[in-house]
Amino acid sequence: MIFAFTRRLAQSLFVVFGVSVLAFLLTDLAPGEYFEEMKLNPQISPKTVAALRAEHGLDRPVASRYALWVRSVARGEFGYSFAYNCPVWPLLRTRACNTLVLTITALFFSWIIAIPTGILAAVGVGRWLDQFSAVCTSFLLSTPDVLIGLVLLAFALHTRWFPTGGMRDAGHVETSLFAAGRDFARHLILPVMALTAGTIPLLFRHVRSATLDVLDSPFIVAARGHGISRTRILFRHVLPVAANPLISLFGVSMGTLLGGSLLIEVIMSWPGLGPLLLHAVLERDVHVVIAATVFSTLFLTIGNLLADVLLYMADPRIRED
Amino acid sequence: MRTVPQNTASTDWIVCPARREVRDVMNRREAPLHFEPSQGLSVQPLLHVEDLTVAYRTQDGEQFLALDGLTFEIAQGEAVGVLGESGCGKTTLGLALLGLLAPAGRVIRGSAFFRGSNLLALAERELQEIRGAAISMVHQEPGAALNPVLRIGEHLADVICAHRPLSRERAREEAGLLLAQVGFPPETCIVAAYPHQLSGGQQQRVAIAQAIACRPSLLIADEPTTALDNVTQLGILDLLTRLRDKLHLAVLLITHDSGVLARTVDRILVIRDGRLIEQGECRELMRWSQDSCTQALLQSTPVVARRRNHEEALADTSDPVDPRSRDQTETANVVAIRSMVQECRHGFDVLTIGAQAREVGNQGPLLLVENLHKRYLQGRWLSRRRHQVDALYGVELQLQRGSTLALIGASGSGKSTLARCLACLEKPDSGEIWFEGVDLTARTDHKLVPFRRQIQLIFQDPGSSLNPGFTALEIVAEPLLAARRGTKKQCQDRALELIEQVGLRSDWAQRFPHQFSAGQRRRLAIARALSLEPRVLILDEALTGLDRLVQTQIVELLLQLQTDLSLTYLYISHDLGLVARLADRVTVLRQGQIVETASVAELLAHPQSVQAINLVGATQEQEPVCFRSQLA
Repeated sequence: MIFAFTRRLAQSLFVVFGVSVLAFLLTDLAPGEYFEEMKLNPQISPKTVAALRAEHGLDRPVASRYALWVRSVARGEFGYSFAYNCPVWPLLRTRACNTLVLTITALFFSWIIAIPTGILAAVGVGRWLDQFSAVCTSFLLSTPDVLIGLVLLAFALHTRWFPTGGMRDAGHVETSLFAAGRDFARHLILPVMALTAGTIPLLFRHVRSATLDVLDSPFIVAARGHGISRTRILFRHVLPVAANPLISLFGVSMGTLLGGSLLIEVIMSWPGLGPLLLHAVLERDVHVVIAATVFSTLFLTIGNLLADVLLYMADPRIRED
Repeated sequence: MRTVPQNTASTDWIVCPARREVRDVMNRREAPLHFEPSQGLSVQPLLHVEDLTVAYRTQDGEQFLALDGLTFEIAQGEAVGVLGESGCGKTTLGLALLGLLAPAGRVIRGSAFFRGSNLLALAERELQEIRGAAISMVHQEPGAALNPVLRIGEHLADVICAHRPLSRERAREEAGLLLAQVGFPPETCIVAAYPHQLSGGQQQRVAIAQAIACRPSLLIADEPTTALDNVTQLGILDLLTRLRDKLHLAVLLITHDSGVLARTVDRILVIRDGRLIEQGECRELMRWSQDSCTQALLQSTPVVARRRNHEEALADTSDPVDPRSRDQTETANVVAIRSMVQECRHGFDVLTIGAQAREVGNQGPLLLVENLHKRYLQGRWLSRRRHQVDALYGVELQLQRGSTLALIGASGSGKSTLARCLACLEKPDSGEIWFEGVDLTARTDHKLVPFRRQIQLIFQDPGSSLNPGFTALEIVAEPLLAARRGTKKQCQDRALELIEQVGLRSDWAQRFPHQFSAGQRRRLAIARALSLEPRVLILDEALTGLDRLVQTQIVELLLQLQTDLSLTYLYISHDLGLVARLADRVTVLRQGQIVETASVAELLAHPQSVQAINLVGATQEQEPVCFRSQLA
């Protein structure tokens, strides 16, 4: 187990390395760069631009730029943002934390809601709950995330129950930790709702079909044939088997933690990675883009690694060949 | 009249072990009990099924009757066999009795009285108390009937705890005792094992242990041995018989294999298209049945019947009637069997002479395998150690033109690997495969293409090797189109010819694979394999899982095709009965090595290796009683 885990870890590190190389090559291939617009500005002399480029090492070949970047990663800077004129890491850290608070909360609620409803729908397949949830998920799936976000915003504007953006009230004076927490939670509710509404249908359908698959299998018929009660069959015989594909899904969904909420963050002006990344892409602030990509990959591999460990614990067929 | 000791209280099992022992001794019968209808009426039957009719709704919204007005009785401690072709509703019967029908199935009318209550009218909760406790079931696929993530001990403890007021701890102890009862030695730690760690036979033993955990009075066994090889099959049937005697169990044994029934049951119900067409005492039925369908089903493949050419077979039986025709009389049967015995006695040199005669004019074998090695690395990335498995270890083989070589061996002995190597689907690690003077192993993939067309492989389960989105015509025409044999129209015409050649109707050509029966799908697979006019057909368990009737038909077809097209077969199987009908020579494989090669007759008469002895023994054991008595 330890051996296998370290092997997987090594593989994951290799993947992250590969993605960083690819990200570098691809951004290099893309036309244009941050200082392009400066060249158009008649007030800035071409010399100044050239000097700036040289300072950031943009005049060197790709390989040596990559080496520079790796060195800055080793220093804990993850490159240098041209637009913000500071190392990427401090910029990314606070934004990523904000994003993670949002996405982890949303993912938690999505799973908490999707698992029981999915199982209930599968157990009573064809009954009203199943059909009702089928209608709901189809509706949610076919509605674009943007629209959901906008509708929620309109709702908040209309009722004034929720703040319509940001993470904290601007004029809020922090009287106590509790009040600050309440304010934060109020700001969190809308984006979490929008995100949850986007992910629930997918998770729900997976949970439902995984449970249905197991419910149909011969060993469940056999268990019924042995007179084992329905609840015991469901909890002891069905769910542990149905968990298998869901664990893999969980691993993949970890990968969306950093990137899945970009749109909602921009719409709801949540100070997360989304607005930063949007800006960086538009301005060709390449190091921010590369760092964000590498971090997303890191989350995905961590998620998959976690899923592997969970699968290992859940399924004896994987534990040994 | 002998009265049967009644298993009075359903709470009988809460007795201490010692008392149970005493009861078991009392229940043990001295002689096999035969149910006779005249006496049966006076004894209260254990199960009385009246006019049981079950319908399935198809996807088109139509209904079709899976069971139609079934009426029968089972007495206390009696073993009853249900015999029928695949798809005749046998399995439905077992499921319907326990209320386990799939949602599309529904009991339309009828009753099934068990100890005074109608099983078909009980609520789910009441049924739950009967299932596993009073009536239990053993399913066809032992592997599929066990939960992959639960330990064996949990499987048993679950059943015990569902019906007996025992603590989990006590239930686990009880599980150990049960496992000993079904023949696991006590020192093995089977309780802690997971299903995938057991062999098919062991899994079925566990399933039986589950079924007898609460001392039921009726055991429904649905094809309990079909998925197992002959040797294992025998062990399971022995176990069932033993348990039946010991626990005074009534058994409803559902099968399509009359060989299984002859050993195990007292009485047989024959079902066709959901209707009960005949029932009677086992031997009587085998000897005197008037019904053609029963006859056909009871005809087990005789082990001693040697393979012969189609015309020969027709010429041999002086009777003008085709031996497989339905209205075969008993005398014709006896004549045929006698002639077979004669052939056996007069030595098998006839056979070898025949084989030699065929070889005249041909130099050397068509396919020659020399010192073939193939090794697999086992263990997935999560396992610590990777170990090597020698799937093939120095295999040497000769395949003569126009002959049939059978390859037998237990599962995992490397049969399928060899087949895949010969069909050029897999590269061996070392060794040579000579086909018509060309070493196939030395060729690159691209240069292998013409040879791939000459060596065709037919898989065990054509259901999964036929594309479900193609029609029959497209399936057969596809290889022709891929090989650019003429225009689309020409290819389709040729495909139609082939479809007719394997005995399918040409107006079925537009059907999809799922609309064919298992036997027809196999015919389709044969037609596809024949489309490129191959020289060699490799049949990888191509007849396994079919009922006897269909098997016989396909064997006839294969023999016919062999004479018509001078094909060479490599037939891979674990069923010696079929091997004897189809093959000239047999090669026994064990753990990747050839342990024995002999002509069929030699192997049957003097098997040398342990594997062969076991297989021959198992097959002979299973011959129906009537067959042996007629030989005598």
